[in-house]
Amino acid sequence: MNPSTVVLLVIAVVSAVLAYVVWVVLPRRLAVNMDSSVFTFSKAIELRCAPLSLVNERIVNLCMLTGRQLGLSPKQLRDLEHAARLRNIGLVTVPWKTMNGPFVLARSAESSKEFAQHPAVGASMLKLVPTLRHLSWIVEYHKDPRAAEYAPIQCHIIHVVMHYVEGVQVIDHTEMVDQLLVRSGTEFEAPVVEALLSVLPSESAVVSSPEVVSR
Amino acid sequence: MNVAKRSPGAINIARAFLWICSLVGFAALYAVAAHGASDPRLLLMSTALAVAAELIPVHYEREGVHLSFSLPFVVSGLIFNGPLGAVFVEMTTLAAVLLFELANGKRKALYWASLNLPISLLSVSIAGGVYAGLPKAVDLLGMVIAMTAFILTYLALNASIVLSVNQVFMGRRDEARVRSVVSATSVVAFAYVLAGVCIVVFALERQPYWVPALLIPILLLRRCLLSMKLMDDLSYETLVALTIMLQRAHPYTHGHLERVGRIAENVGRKLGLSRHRSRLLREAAVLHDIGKIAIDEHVLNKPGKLTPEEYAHVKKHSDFGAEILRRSPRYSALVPWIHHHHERPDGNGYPDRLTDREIPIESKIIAVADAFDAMVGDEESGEQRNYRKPKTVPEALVELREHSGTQFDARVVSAFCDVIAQEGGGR
Repeated sequence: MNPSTVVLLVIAVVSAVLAYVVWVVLPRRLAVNMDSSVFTFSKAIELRCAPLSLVNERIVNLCMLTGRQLGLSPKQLRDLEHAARLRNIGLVTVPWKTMNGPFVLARSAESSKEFAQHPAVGASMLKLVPTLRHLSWIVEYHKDPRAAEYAPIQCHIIHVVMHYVEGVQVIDHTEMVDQLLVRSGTEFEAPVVEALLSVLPSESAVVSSPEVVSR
Repeated sequence: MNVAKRSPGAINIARAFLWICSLVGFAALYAVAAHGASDPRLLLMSTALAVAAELIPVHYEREGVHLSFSLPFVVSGLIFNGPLGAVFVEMTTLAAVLLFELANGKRKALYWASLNLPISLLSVSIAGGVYAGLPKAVDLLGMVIAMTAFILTYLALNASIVLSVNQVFMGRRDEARVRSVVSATSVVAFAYVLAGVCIVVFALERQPYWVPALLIPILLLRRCLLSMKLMDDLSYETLVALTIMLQRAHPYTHGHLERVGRIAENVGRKLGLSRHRSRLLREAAVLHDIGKIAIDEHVLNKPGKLTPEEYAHVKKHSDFGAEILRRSPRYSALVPWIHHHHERPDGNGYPDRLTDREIPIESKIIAVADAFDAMVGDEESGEQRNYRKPKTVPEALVELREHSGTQFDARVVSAFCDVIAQEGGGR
């Protein structure tokens, strides 16, 4: 074998190793780092708002199941998971007592107003972080997707799932399902409601897929 | 590596100096370089490859470093066309990039070029002179030595001139930037020498048209660096976003966290911690109170004495801080340091009442830096913790010394006082 061939072989091997690193190793590491960053923010908010931690994981899991049922792409599912975890990041500016005090119905008008602004505050915070900026739109409109000029599907999913999970804490499951069906097509996107209702029976049995959630 | 930031003032002197140096270097090169036969096709190929590689740099904005990949093809110009070929490739490449950027409306490119062109011309001229000055050898080892000498001279000169221009003419003496430039230069030097060996082999085998194959690993290396940069950016943004969250929850001044971080890093270096560990310590010091996100701000800001229940609530912040960061691979190393930053050498700290030997040195450093900054506040902005009057720097140091060995580690207090004295007050 002449030296030029040897050098070309070396170039080919180095290129193959670099290609493996670029397309396999680094994207995995980046995804893990991204997930852990999102988890870090989400944990901070859960600790600040104790009642939230009781339902947060269920909301994230139901969002993922509904998203998969609707056939979202892996990228859309990742954004959905991250937005679902970060949806309450704006709560950091709401006074501690407002979040950890009496239940929402007993809040004063002023604290309810502060509470209602948290999606917009959260979105403005996410806009400051370039790697999470793309989620700000979902976070801003997750409570009222119809107020947005264009709301991504993730907004509608989080909206419906949150409504269901928070609702069943105070009323019966059947009654809640009836509510969703009545408002389906008007307040809630009909396909999203349909997808959520179809995954509810399997919710407790299904564990989020390892590639998307359980990193 | 390029000069990458504007600074007014002595800039014209810098430019004139660099142009004079370049012309002298270029003239010297003419004198020594009667070396190598020109082949226009190979010169064109090297130039085209260098332009392509120069147009896809990686920018490290925070470090102020700009990494481009054209040097292997400047080496190709050197091997196939001699030192003047290298000068031609380098200058043509920079001129092409300048035109490209001007065509894209980047008018500042002209300004950067006025600095970077003479620096590159000087570097490549002197490195070419070194190459031409070495005994001519036509075997592999001799050519590899000459080529390596060219690359190392070029990189060393380029980095030194860029740093000197920044430090001497623009008044920037940033140690972190020097480290970034030196470390980036060392990494690329190795890769460039390997690429240079390949070019030497192709030259000896008279198969120069395989040189473009080097673009493949170079492009992949660039992708690799970009992905790694993205990960670094993500870690940095996470740190920034967490401090933003903390500041929104508890309007700390940004200055407090920044100062505690900087002083903690310097004390760590003083106590012999490695540069990497001191850097992590700085991040831990910036994040040490992140658990306060979960604490009632009315209790934290209460002017009077806290009730036992309120104090118990506040003390939870070190547990919360550890819990928030535990799952992050980037920050998991910082968790014990943050968790134990309220422990005391006399065993009366919290949350675990650790003894002196059980407390990480990093936690002890954070404790001292935080206490000092809390005592002093920000004299310029009038910032102070609302429950006590700010102390002067000497008063705060006296208080630290009084509690040395009980509340604070004696060795850390001593190093801290030295650092503050060196920094003229640490503000």
